[in-house]
Amino acid sequence: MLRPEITQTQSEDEALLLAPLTRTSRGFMLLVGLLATVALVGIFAYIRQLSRGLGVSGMNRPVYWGVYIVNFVFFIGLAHSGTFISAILRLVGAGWRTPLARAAEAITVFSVPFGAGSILIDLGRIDRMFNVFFYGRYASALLWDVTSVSLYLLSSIVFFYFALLPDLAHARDQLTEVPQWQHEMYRILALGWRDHPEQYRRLEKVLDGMAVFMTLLVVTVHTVVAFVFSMTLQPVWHTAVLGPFFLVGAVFSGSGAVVIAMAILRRVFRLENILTWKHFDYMRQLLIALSLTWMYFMITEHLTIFYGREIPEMQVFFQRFTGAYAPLFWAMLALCFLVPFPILLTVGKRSIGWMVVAGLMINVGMWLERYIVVLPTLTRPHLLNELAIGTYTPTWTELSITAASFAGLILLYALFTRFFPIVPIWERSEEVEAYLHEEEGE
Amino acid sequence: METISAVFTTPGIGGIIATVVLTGAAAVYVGLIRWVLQGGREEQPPYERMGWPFE
Repeated sequence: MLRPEITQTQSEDEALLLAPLTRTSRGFMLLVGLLATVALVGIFAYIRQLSRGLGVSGMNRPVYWGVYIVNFVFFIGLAHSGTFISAILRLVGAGWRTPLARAAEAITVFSVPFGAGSILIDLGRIDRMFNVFFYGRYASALLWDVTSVSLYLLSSIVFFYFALLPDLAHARDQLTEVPQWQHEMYRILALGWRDHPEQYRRLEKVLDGMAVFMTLLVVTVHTVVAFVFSMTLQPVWHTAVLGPFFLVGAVFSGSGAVVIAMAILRRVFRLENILTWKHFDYMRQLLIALSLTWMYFMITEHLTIFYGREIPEMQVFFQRFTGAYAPLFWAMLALCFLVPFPILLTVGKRSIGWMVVAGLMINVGMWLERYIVVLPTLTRPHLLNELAIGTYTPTWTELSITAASFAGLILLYALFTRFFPIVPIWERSEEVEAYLHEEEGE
Repeated sequence: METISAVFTTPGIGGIIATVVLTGAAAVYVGLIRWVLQGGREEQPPYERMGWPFE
């Protein structure tokens, strides 16, 4: 059994990681209250939409997709941070990912439901979601989406839960002073984990295997999300570049979100010795690489459209560059690349604060980028491009539901950090690591 | 060829495919969790595995 060795060498770090699970600060209560209020306003707006119909949204003919679909693409993209940092970096053996893996995975687990939920909100009548299963044809990219996003949600939760299991048992055994219900929760969720070396060995095997599967899934999911657009014959959407472009954008925004989460957790829980400058610097380098890749796709996409000079495509192109959507397009470009990229190269080298600023900009910019993908095409669709110009302005209902989705995501994240260790304790244990290496014959 | 085409175009078959994929994955995950949790149990004598009845 490994428990005695672990407890003998239990470091101050470990106590620091378990401390938030035992107390509730006034600031935390205030935050929860504030986020819950925003979420309640959104729930009210949704109930109103449910009773009055989608007419309360800004969607109309031919603009049949609006902010809800923007949120869907954004939240699914945000989710890719966890899988990228946890699964892909695990596969390439990047040991530095360990302390930030769970913080990133939690973003995945809590943002996918809001992504999938956005689709259900967009449906109007939620009972119609079952029609996809009863009458869906697999020729429809929408059904590919249902399959891949559901599988991604399920797999992300399982992957997250696997890595949490030993720490749940640790909380069950160490935190005897917490309220009875909380202790009971740890006991049930730990599923009788006994800290047996063989369990750790098997757990590592499963996590390694799942990392391969999750990597395949993460690429598939966002490509399939892009297919919902690119499989249509609408101007600017119908391009093979959209899949990889969506994927890069997803990991880009997700990594920006991880930097923000890391900085907040480091500050609030005083994790300076655990989430060190080194981790931020690795993330900075990752963001620089992703910024350049994202910009490469942005230029490729628009240069190809410009050289094609097809009338419907050019109408959308000019909508973006000089037309109704130009302010949003240029703001998006500034927020995604023109401002954060120099920040990451210069002041971000020395300041976590500046990195957070860059991360925030990237996320606002990426939400705008999704908006720019969805709306200009729908206001100038193929069949109508000579006959009519669509318009779309989001209503307060859509904005409230959007705000509530973001508040809900942050609320779930905050509650998670209150009851569960946000940095993996067992993966930091030298005894467990030594045992696993010994098993591998290293 | 027509059979393949029918799989993709017949209403309802898509739902069945999605359901099979999801329930299949769920079954695999439950199996994996059980396998991980059972690690080391083989070394225990049967009375420990089943629980000592006189305690």
